[in-house]
Amino acid sequence: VSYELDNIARSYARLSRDVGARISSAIDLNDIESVPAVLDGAEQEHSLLEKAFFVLSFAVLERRITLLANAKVKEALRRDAMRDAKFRTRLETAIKVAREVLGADPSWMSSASELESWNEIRNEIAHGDPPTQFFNVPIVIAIGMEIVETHDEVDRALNP
Amino acid sequence: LLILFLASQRWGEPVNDRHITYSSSSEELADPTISHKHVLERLRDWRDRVEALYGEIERELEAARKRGDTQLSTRYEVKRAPAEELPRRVGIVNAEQPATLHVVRPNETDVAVLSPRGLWMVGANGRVDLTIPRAAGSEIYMLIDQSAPLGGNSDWTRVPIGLPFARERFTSHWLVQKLQ
Repeated sequence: VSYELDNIARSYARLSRDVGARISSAIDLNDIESVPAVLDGAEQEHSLLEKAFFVLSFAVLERRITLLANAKVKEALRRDAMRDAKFRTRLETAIKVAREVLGADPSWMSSASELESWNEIRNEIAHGDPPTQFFNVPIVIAIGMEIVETHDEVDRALNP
Repeated sequence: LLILFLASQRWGEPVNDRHITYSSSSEELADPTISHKHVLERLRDWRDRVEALYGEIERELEAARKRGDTQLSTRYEVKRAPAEELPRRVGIVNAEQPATLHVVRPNETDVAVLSPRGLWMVGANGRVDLTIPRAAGSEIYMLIDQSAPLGGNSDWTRVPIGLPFARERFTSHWLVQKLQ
């Protein structure tokens, strides 16, 4: 189990509860038609929270893909080269390694193109140009957990 | 621990057999070559999906009124809002937005408001916010469409805004029951 993703999920749940309570209380007190400043502020916080946790969750997911891609590599130079490779290369290699070691396609393989798009979106956010304000963070965490499980299984198989 | 947490809270009973692998609007968001025509097609589809959602709620309310279970009715409001980032990137500044649906009491005060928030969402295919205003304890849900882009039928999941892992399938029956 990834304690990193576990901690991220718990923090995300706690902070979402706080921001959700502020949005709810703003609507209790105000006319939702007028979009008062307090509601506007809480909604902006919610949007920032989603964006931040998308980036954090994706970072863990990406790190595990790189580790998985490098799972069978012994030489430091080749490991470094893989770390610097494009995301698509690391992803394809990670799937290949999982298939070779575990004898089956990883459960998340059909999400590969989705994962590639998340990488592009994460890069756009890092450059201050997010293509959207809306993120389904739990799905990123859930697919991240599947990747972590695959990496842990491969690691156990290669290093019994 | 997280797996147990997600298994217990992420999907409510009706959706817990769903595989998490699917395509969302993320791929369009990351596609620098997306065409003006495709974006227009997606916007039309978004409007149709939201209208279909409203249609289901209207039908459920109508049935409840006929049974004498409710006096609630609906009204629509067209709001002007700037286009989302993706349409703007292909030169669409003033896209037609789906209307906001108000579920109202006989005195025209709101018991629920459904506001389309955005079509392009990482890991989903659009979001409509459902607000149930109260003097205290107002409820806000994100209705997230989990269907694939241009995949036909919508698959709406309701998520309380403060409980992102507490997900259950949204049905108009659930909403009308809740508002009675």
